[in-house]
Amino acid sequence: MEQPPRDLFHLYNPDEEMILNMGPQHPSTHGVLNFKLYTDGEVIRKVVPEVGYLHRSLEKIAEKVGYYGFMPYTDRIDYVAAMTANQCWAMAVEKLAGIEVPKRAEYLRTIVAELNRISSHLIAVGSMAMDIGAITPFPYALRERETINDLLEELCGARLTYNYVWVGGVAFDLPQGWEERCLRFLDHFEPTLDEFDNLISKNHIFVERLANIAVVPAEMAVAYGLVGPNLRASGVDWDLRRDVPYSAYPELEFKVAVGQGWYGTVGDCWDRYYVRVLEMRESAKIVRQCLRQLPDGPYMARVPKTLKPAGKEACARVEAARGEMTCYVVSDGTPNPYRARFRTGSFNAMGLVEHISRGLMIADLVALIASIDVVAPEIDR
Amino acid sequence: VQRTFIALSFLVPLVGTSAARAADAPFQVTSVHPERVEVGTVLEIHGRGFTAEGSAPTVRLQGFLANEQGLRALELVVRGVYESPRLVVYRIGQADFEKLGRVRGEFRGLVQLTCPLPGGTLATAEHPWRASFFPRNLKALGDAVVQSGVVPIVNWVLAVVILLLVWLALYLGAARLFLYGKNRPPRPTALEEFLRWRSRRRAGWAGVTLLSMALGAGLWFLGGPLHDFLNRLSAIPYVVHLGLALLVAIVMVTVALLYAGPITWVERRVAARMQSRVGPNRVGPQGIIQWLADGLKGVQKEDIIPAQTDPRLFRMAPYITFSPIFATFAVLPFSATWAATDVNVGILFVLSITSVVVPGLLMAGWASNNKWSLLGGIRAAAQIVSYEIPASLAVLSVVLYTGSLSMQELVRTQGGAPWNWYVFQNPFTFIAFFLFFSSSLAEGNRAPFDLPEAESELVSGYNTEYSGMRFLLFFVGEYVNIYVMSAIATTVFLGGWRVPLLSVAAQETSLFWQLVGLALFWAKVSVLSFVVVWLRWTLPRLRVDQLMTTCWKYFVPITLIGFIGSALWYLVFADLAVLDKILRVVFFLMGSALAGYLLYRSWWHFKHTKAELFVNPWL
Repeated sequence: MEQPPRDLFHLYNPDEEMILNMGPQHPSTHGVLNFKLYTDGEVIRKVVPEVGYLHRSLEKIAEKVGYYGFMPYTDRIDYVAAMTANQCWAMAVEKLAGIEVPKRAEYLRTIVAELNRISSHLIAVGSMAMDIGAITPFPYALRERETINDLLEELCGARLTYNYVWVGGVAFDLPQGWEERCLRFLDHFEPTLDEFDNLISKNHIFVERLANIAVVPAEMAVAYGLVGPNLRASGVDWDLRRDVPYSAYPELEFKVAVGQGWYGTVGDCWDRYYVRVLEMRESAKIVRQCLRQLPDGPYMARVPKTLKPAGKEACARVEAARGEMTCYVVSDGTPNPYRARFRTGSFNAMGLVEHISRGLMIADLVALIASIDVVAPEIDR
Repeated sequence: VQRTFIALSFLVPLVGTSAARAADAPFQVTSVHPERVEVGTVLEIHGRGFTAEGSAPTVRLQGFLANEQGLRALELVVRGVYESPRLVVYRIGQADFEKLGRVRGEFRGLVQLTCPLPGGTLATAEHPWRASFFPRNLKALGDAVVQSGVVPIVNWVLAVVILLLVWLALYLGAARLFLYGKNRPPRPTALEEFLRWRSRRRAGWAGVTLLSMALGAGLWFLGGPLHDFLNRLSAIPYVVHLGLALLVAIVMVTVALLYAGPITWVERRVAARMQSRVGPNRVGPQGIIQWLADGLKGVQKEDIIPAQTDPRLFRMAPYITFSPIFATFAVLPFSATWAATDVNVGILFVLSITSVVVPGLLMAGWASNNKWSLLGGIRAAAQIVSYEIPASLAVLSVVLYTGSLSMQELVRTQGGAPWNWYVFQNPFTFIAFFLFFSSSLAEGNRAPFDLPEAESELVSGYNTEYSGMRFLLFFVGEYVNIYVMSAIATTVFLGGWRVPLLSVAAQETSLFWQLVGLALFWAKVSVLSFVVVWLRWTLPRLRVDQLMTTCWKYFVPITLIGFIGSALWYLVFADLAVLDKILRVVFFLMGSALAGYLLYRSWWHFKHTKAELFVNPWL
């Protein structure tokens, strides 16, 4: 075919392809993201995710502010579930410096991480329902999340960016009566999950919209490095909390929700949705167990005022709400880390979008983005 | 008659051309314009070598005129005006139309031009001509308005308008008082206000008001001479009729707005209750006039027309979307005799005029020059056009029983008691009711079919780029449409204004029963509107292909089968009145059981829903 003149290139479109910018300001991109859509009417031919709008050089900042000073920044890696990011950094630094964490602190970390997982998943399933067009479940999810925010606020004074988990333990012990209030919340919360199922999960239109959409087979999920609920929804039975246990998890009993293709194929959008709902139930159980087994003792280890780790490098992995979060720290013996590196789930999930979205419709892409539950700052850091 | 006309119309040009060829006249007619003739149209005869020695040329129209009444011969001989050797003109006036008997239709025939030659002799040339004849259209409109029986209700209509205006003025005054209290700023002079108004760019409502005030004042002073002038033109009836039509339109729009406003408040409050929130509760008791505050705010906003749009289409689109929805109010039967008009094709008018929304939405989508808007516009067009078919078919299965398309007749032929409503007429109309309701949800872009404005997919769809007054027009149109769809469902399926155990005649003659009928109609409409709101805050949204599948693979076949089934049922049960009656009651009981179960389930969930939990001791 003859090559069109260069200055008319933007008009030359032999396939009648429409190029759409979904984002950076779009209601369903879950943050500042851009998806470049090449569509044939409503049917998508190609999606190119453009990331980097929220890049804040967190890893470079880590090299400047020191081991303790970086802890508040980790809240900003994933602001929807900040506790696990706190924990990941703390565990990496503890491993580097050889700090032993008290038992009570490990339990407290587990409790807040699981509460935070619930609140993160509530946002995920609520906003997913909203993206599908059901607006009512979202306020219900947020309402429950408010209670968790209240509990965590009581614990550490912050509702979103907690800075609760510190190197060597946690910042504060439980306030008086906190366990009782937390149990009251769990008693309230577990039945509301059944309500939530009645409200939206088993809704016929909802199922029709999500089942068999954007199916990610197990091999593909592994190949693209999916983690967490997205990976488990594809039928891969892998959970760090059970398989590479850390913190208080070795002493707890819980099940791992794995996608079974309840209404369609294993790894479709509905599986990704429902795995999160099931995980919330399991998290509630874990919190109950932790509260029951909570040991007495100090909640903070003795740590030096200025940390100059003896170790060379350390790597810590935690199961965050968006899947496995890895932190790799290299030390050169100075108070500042030589290099820090975070590996997050959302970034890899974004890589999958381009492959999986071919042939979907625009409305399906919205469902896909919602179902992989990306958080923009976690992609870019 | 039609066939004869067609045959003749083929013959006439042949005759004409052969005659023109055979003419021995020294001049020639080459063409005749125009092709549409109204009062005041100038007929132009073009040619070569025209002469006018001593007297004007004669123009003779001869041929056939066809309209719906039939075919008739037409002949008119007049004196033309000689303009040049190439042009003779004649202005067709009111008198000519009177002479022809106020004709309207398709004319096919000849134009013969007779010119006096220099020697004192006459010569004739002719040319075939076809044209459409229209008498003055306003007259026809005026006649229609008068015939529809609007005149008797004009008085109360006027009263309602004045009442509303006074109420609005009082409200505005009170709002000013409440906003500022005793410390309200000094009122600017009229000139200052005008200058300030001029310095800001707004939608033209203030301008329209001022203009109409100026027009009113002008009419006051010029009333006498104007009346004489119109009298000389014998145009008084037209003006009166047009005025009446406008007045009725104003009342209808006001009624529609007065419904659309509060329903937005109802929707927000209901949604809030459903979502465990409070909702608007600040403006007025329980926030009941929040809609007025929002509306005033919308009117005051700057009228933004983005730079890259097609400004004409962009401005026009809201009106084209908004008008047809309001036009349906012309035929809605509010009570036994209280309808603006009762045309014999009422339901057809409603079903067809609501399709005019489609070009408006497409226009908005296209003119915005925004791809999301475009997608929204296209989705809206595809959806509305598709769902009209099941909606019409569902209505047809009822129309079978009525034998009329008149909205009032649809109500009159139903009984007052619920088991005599068309929804319980037979199983097919029972299903048709639900399908009609769902289809009109889709036509009105309401959830779960709100794809054209799906906020999570298309930002806001076709109205993404709109703001202020123009956005309000879309918005109000959407909410008026809730009323319209509920009113049509009520009229066709749920007995409209019929009061149980009361004859139509009794209702038509008594003012009290008229009012009761009105109240019943509004109650039924309100219940259906509530269901519309309820569905929106309950259901997720369908995908485009699912939407189309639902329509073409399920709704259309089912309504078609329902239509045929309804017809068969009509044939079978026409002579079995008792059995028919029993079956109707059985259907009614079944329907009631269904509704009762739904209400019970709603109540159960209402009672057993978990309330919000507060654990924070310092909260």
